[in-house]
Amino acid sequence: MDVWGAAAAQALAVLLLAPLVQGLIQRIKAALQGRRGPRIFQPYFTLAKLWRRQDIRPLPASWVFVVVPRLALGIVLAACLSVPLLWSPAPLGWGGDFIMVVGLLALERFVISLAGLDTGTPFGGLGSSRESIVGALVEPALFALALPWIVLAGSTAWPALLAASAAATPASVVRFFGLGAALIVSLAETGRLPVDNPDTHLELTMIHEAMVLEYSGPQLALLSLAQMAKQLLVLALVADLLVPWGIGGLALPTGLAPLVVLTKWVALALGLGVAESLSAKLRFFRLPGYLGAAAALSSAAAVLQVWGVR
Amino acid sequence: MIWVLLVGVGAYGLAALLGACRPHGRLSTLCALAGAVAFGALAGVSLTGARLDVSLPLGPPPFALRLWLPPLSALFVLLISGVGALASVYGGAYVAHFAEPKRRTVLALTPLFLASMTLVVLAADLAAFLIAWEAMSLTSYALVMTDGERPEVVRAGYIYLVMTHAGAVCLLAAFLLLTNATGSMDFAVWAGAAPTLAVGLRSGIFLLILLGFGSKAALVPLHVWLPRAHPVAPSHVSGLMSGVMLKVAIYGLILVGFTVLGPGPLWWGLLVLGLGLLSSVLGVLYALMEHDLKRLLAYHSVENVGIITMGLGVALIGQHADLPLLAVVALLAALYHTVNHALFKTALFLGAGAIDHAGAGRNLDGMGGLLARMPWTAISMLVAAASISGLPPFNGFVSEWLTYQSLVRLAAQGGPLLALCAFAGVLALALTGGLAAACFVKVSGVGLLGRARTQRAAGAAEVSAAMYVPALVLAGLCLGLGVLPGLIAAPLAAVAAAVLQAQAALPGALTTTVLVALPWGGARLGPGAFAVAALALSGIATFAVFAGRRARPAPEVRAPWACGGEIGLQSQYSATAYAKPFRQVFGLIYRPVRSVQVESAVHPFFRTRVEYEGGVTPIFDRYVYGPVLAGLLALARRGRHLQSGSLRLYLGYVLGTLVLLLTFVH
Repeated sequence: MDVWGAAAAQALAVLLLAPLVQGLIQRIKAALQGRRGPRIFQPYFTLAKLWRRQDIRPLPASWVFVVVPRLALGIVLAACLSVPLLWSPAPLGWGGDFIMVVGLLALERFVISLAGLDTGTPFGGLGSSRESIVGALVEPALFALALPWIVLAGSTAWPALLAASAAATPASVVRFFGLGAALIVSLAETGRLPVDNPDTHLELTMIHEAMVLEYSGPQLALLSLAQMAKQLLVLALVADLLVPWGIGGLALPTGLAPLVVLTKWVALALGLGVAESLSAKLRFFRLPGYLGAAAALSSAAAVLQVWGVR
Repeated sequence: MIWVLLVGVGAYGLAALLGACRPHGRLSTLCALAGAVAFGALAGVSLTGARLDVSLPLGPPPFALRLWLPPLSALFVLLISGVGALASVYGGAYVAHFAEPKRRTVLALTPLFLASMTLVVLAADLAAFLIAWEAMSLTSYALVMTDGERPEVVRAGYIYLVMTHAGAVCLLAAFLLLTNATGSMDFAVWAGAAPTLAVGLRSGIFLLILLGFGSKAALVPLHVWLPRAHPVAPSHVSGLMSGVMLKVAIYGLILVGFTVLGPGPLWWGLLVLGLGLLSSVLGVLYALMEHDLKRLLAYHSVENVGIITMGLGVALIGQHADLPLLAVVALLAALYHTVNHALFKTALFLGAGAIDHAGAGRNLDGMGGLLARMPWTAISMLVAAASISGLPPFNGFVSEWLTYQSLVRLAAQGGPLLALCAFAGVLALALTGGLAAACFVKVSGVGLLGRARTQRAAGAAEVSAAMYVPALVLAGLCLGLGVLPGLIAAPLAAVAAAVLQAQAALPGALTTTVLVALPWGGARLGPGAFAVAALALSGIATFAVFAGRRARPAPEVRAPWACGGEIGLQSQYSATAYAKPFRQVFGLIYRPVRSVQVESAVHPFFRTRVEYEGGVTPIFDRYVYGPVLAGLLALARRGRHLQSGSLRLYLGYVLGTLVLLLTFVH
């Protein structure tokens, strides 16, 4: 029962913290653009507002359209349970590893893409098609990100990956390459510039927003929450792989560990906000090169790791 | 045990006879079911330890037909019988709409096809193997030719026949080399003697085997027949061919590559790994461009055989490098994916057949909205689509996870060079997974969801229970083997260890019911826990929405906003449009071609007709098979001079050949 209790606690923590991270990134972007911007807690208010709005469904949609937001949130939260977020090992770490997280993220993308096509409108299909190709290209890049540490640890299990990364030289070429790749991959996975633009409903550029265009009310709230949780998950994943120090049980007093973890998230969110503000939207067909660069950087890091250049 | 064997063969035979003679197919289906059950029981009994060894004398001592049942064969017999039974039930209902002679042909040939596949994996010597192999090829050819009055079917069948016999020639050559070197036709004798042969000879045999079985398993570049032949067969036969017959070739590859030839040089494994990599990526890329559902599924068979072959390649490397644990896990991954592919691919083909049967055709752009009209068929296809995309918690994820694990282990243990190969494998597998998911979003989203795109699709109705229940059973197995991987991972690991004779390397407790645990680095997988967690959290979310319903106006269903226009049947995103970004991004491989012809009156602005044609360059047909074919034809033209029509000259040829043979062979 202990495991499931910890799982519930971690899921709750993600649900509560995810909008805060979103608000933080929005705030950073606003500051860089010279605006005052919304307060940091704005995403909570937005979700609460959506929660009270009417749920309108498009006529052709089937039950798939109705269940997808709930399923997507469940899948993302389940994925969060296999990653060491605040402490290691993760609640469901006994049954899932890095590959499980990649698989669950792919599953979430799969079901949301289905919902996009289920609306029977051109917009939904457009979003699904674009999201699918971004997903197909991100998946190898995400794998490549973990490759250097997987090779070092000889395993894909999170505790082994954390230990391997923590024991390696802190400031190494491998880690710097990894950070570069991680930036690209997390911008793509969280649907931010230069891959997607979360702040617009311009049909020429949108990907994720096009897929979920027909959602409204509580369903949209659940989907937004799922997207924010996914953002937090990606940040945690990058933190675990590249800056693992401080996660519970690794030579820090237990009280201090969550603080260190939160600091890392804030730092990474800062990086994400700055990177997004500095980039312009890429033309859609330039994306393969952009994501390929991430995969190439990480693969180079993995090759260096194999050859013992640290 | 021999009685069970005879009952099985007899039941299949009776099923064929009844199918050919009686106007009602039900009795024939029942007999085919009985045959499948008998063979399934035979395999089940053998897994408990009983041995089967039957020898039917055909002449003086070396000429006998021997059958055996080692664990590897038992696994494949189980697979053939299980999937065969479900496909037979489906087939009995499916053939109802066929015209009379065709209906009988299909009903009579399907049990024979099943029996011949079963006998291939039971065969213990050269003669039995080749006879059963040829029977399998010919019955499947005849089934492919069911619609033989259509010219494209004839062409597809011809290409299949040529490719399969070219492969059979390679197999025959390899087997005769083995017979010559060991002085026996018996597989068991080969297995004992082959590892001592010269490495050059063994490599030659290995290459011939790879060509022979590779052409049957449709490895790139020997895959060209598959996307032509599989779709034109009746759907349950397509399912059997893709789901099971390709696996018989995988069986052959494992049998000869591992059991008979034993550890080989490193390049065997690298070659097989490379072929697997190429097949998986190219298979899924070409599948994305197909909008004919059955052709698309056929290309996915190339992809999945590629994934299986990657596992085999790593296993060969592990066997070479004396890393028995790595070899066992890699072979386990290949076998797991073999079972999985048989389940989800057959389910998908059965679903595609049902949709066609219901009148919605085979073109994805002509379907749409089928989830509402054919709920059971659509649900089975949705589950199978998620499984084939390698998504948790379905079975495809478990076998891909195992393949990843074997590649990771190879990278960690094999040294820098092998690590690079393993990286390539990991990235290719990840790309394949992503592309397969994209492709099955297309299949499910365009074909099953949204609105009906044509009147035909709008008029489709659910097929009979005999057709959707087998697909649902297969889909259920896909989910079951994903959530509870331990159920079959342990027996499969035992089979893999038996094949590699590495039982000692395998630790006792590899799995529990819900968990696959590999004996390194704490690598463990229990997708069931995540399925439960995700469903529980989704349930909570659903409850929260329900609980908060008073705080907001009641839900409403409205026509989606259409920018002031009207959303017609054709304004949904089509399969072609969906795949367009892929065509552009992977243009280097596809080499897309398009031609737009515009007819206009008075001024180019006033168009009267626009004709658009787009497609993908068939690289292998044009650049590989085209030149080969042209060369063969040129050679034949040259050789025509030999045929003078003069009897005396022919007698001279006979004399010359005799002299040559006497000089060189004797």
